[in-house]
Amino acid sequence: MTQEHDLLRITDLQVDFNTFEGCLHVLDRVSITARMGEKVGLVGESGCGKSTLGRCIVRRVRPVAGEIIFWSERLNNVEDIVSVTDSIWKQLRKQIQMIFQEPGAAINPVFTVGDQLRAAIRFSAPTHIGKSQIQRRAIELLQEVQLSDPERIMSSYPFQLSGGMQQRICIAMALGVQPSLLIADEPTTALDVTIQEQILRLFNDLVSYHRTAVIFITHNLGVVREIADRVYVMYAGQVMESATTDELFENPMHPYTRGLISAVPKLTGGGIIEGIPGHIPSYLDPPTGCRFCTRCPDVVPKCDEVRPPIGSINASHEVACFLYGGEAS
Amino acid sequence: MSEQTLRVTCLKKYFATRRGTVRAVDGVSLSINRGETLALIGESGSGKTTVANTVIGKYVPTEGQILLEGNSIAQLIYKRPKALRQRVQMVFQDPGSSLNPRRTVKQTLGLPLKLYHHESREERKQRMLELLERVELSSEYLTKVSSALSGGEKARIGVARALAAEPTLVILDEPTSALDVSIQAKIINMLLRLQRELTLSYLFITHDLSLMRNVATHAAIMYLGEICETSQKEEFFRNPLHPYTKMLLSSVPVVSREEEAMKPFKTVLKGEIPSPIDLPSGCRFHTRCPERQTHCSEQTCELLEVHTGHWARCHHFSEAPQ
Ligand SMILES: Nc1ncnc2c1ncn2[C@@H]1O[C@H](COP(=O)(O)OP(=O)(O)OP(=O)(O)O)[C@@H](O)[C@H]1O
Ligand SMILES: Nc1ncnc2c1ncn2[C@@H]1O[C@H](COP(=O)(O)OP(=O)(O)OP(=O)(O)O)[C@@H](O)[C@H]1O
Ligand SMILES: [Mg+2]
Ligand SMILES: [Mg+2]
Repeated sequence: MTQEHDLLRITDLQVDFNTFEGCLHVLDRVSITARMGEKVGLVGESGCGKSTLGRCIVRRVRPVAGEIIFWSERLNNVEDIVSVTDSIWKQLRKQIQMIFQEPGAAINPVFTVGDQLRAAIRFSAPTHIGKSQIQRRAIELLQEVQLSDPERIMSSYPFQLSGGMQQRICIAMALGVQPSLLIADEPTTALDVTIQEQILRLFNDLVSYHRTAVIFITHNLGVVREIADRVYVMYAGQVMESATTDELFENPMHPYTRGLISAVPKLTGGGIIEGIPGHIPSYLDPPTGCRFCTRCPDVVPKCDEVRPPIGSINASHEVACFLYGGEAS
Repeated sequence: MSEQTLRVTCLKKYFATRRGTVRAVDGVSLSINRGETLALIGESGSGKTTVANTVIGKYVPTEGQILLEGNSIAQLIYKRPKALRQRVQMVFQDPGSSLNPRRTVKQTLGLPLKLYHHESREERKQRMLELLERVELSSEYLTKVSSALSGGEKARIGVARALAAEPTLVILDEPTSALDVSIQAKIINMLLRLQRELTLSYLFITHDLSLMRNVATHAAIMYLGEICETSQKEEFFRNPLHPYTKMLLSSVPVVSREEEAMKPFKTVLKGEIPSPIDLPSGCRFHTRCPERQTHCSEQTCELLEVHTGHWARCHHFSEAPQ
C-alpha cells in the first residue's frame, strides 16, 4: 500500500451536550483517521454518536476536548478544525462537505431545488462563473445522481419530490463542490437498491478521480461491505473496533461487532434475529470503562471500571476489548 | 366485516407541474387481507409514497377506488374523517420532518391519545409509558424535544405515535431505514408481534429486500407508477419473473457469500432512467431492461397471471408478438 497523506486525523475527541437533565457525555475519546482517496465506513447502533462525530468535523458541534487535524491541499497546511479562526474555516469549508442524514435538514422547503443547487455551485466555484455555465453544471450533477428530467426537478420545491429524490439532491449539492473530504451521513437510506448501487459507484468514481476521502456513516452493513476500504465500529460514543472491510466481515472480534453482524436480515431468509439484548446506556452517567459492558455476553469484572486500550490484532485490525489482551493498568 | 382490509382498484394519481403532468401512480391495484403484510417495493420515485398518501386520504385520486374494510375512502373522508385517520395510520419515511422539532415526546404521543381515545390524564400517562417501552425508550424521553433525538430515536417515536391510535391498517413507509440492525430487528419483531396480537394489516414500503423476505406475506414491485410484479412472498423469491425484480435482487448489498450466490445477475447494466412526465413507449422498463427485445419498445405490456397468484408485466410472458 502506498503511503498517502492522512487527510483527516481525529484524536481523542470528546463531546458533551448540556441539557435540562444534565450533561450528556456522548463522544468519549474517539480517534479516527482518513487518508486521501480512502473510503472509511463508520457503523454503529442508532444514537451511538456517528452523526455527532460528522457534525464536529463541519463545526456544527464543538467538542470539549480533542483535535481534528485536517490537511488542506489548497492551503498546503495542516489545521486543527476545532481551533482555526473563522476566516481560515471559511476556506476549509469549501473542501469539506457533509451530506446530512435527513434531507429535510439540508434543503430549504421554500426555495426551488434549482435555486439551491445553483447557489451551492456558485459558492464553491474558485472564480466567478456565468449563469449558463452554472445551469449546465447543475443539470450535469442531477444526471450524475440518476435523476431524470432535470428541468422538472430544478423547478420543483422539495415537497414535490420523493424521499429518494430529495436525498439525491443533497448528494448532488455536496458533489457540486468537489470536496477533498466528504462526510456522507446515511446517504442512500431512501434509495432503491439499483439506484443505490449507481450512487455507490458515483462515490467510487469521485474517490478515484479526485482522491476525495469519503467518510461513510451508515448502519447498513451490506452497504459498508460494498463501499468501504476500512471500517470503524462505534458503540455509545466509543470506537470498539476498526479493520479493513474484508477482515472485519470475515473475522469480527469485538462482541459488539459480532452481535451487530448477526442481526442483519438475510436475503436467504430465516427470520429476524435479535442481535444484542438491551440498549445503549444513558449518556448522563455512562460506565467509565467499556460502555458496552452492560450488554456484553463476555463481560469480566474490570470492564465497567477500566476502558480497554485499543490493541492491534494485526496491521489492519484493531480492537478495544479485554478478550484480546490489554491488561488493566 | 370484510376480510379485506384494503382494496385499491385502478388507482391513478397525476400531478400537474410547470413542466407537464407527472403520472406518479398510473393504474395500481392491490389488496391486503386482515393480518397480512404487503411489501411495496420499487424504484425511488415510482409512486409508493403517493399510493400511501392517497390511501390515508391526503391526496384525492385522479381515478380509481380505494376501499377500507369495505368502505370507500372517498366517502369516509367526508363523513367520518376522524374514523379514517384512526383506522389507518402512517409511519413516515423521513422521521425528522414528520415530527415537530419543538414538540416534546409527551406532546407528540399525547395528541393521538387525546384525539381518538378520550382517556383520563392518568391513563394517558400510563399508555405513553407503555408505548415508549414497546419501542424501547426509557421514560426520560418524555420530556425531550424531537430536535434533540438521534435519527433512530425519532423513527421509534414515529412508530409509537402510529400505534397510539390503535389502527387496523398501518402504512409503514420505510420505518426502519433510519435504524441500525439491532433496533430494526426489535422494532420489526415488535411489529410482527403486534400484528399477531391485534390482527393488524401492514402496507410495508421498503427498499430492503432482505428485510422484506423476513416480514412480508406478499410482495408488489412498482416501476414508474405501475406494478410490474406481484405474488405471494416465497414464490417471489423462488421464482422472480420480471427483469426489474431480478435486477433488484442482484443489487442488494449483502453480508455473506451464501446470499451473494442467490443473485440472478452477476452485473447490472445501467441503462437510461426514464421520467414520469415523458414515459417511455411500450414497456416502461425497456430503457433499462437487460433482456429487452425489439418489440418491447413498441407494445405496451399488461399485467398477466403467469402462475397462480403470480402476476408479471413483461412481454416474455405474453404469447402474442414475435
Ligand atoms: N444537540 C443535542 N442535544 C442533546 N443531545 C443530543 C444532541 N445531538 C445529539 N444528541 C444525543 O447524542 C446521541 C448521539 O446522537 P447522534 O445523532 O450522533 O447518533 P447517531 O449515531 O447518528 O444515530 P442514528 O444512527 O440514529 O442517526 C443521542 O443520544 C442524541 O440524543
Ligand atoms: N405533491 C407533488 N407534486 C408534484 N409531484 C409530486 C408530488 N408528490 C410526488 N410527486 C412526484 O411523483 C413521483 C412519485 O413520488 P413518490 O414520493 O410517490 O415516490 P416513491 O416511490 O415514494 O419514491 P422514494 O422511494 O424515493 O420515496 C415523483 O416523480 C415525484 O416527483
Ligand atoms: Mg445519525
Ligand atoms: Mg417514498
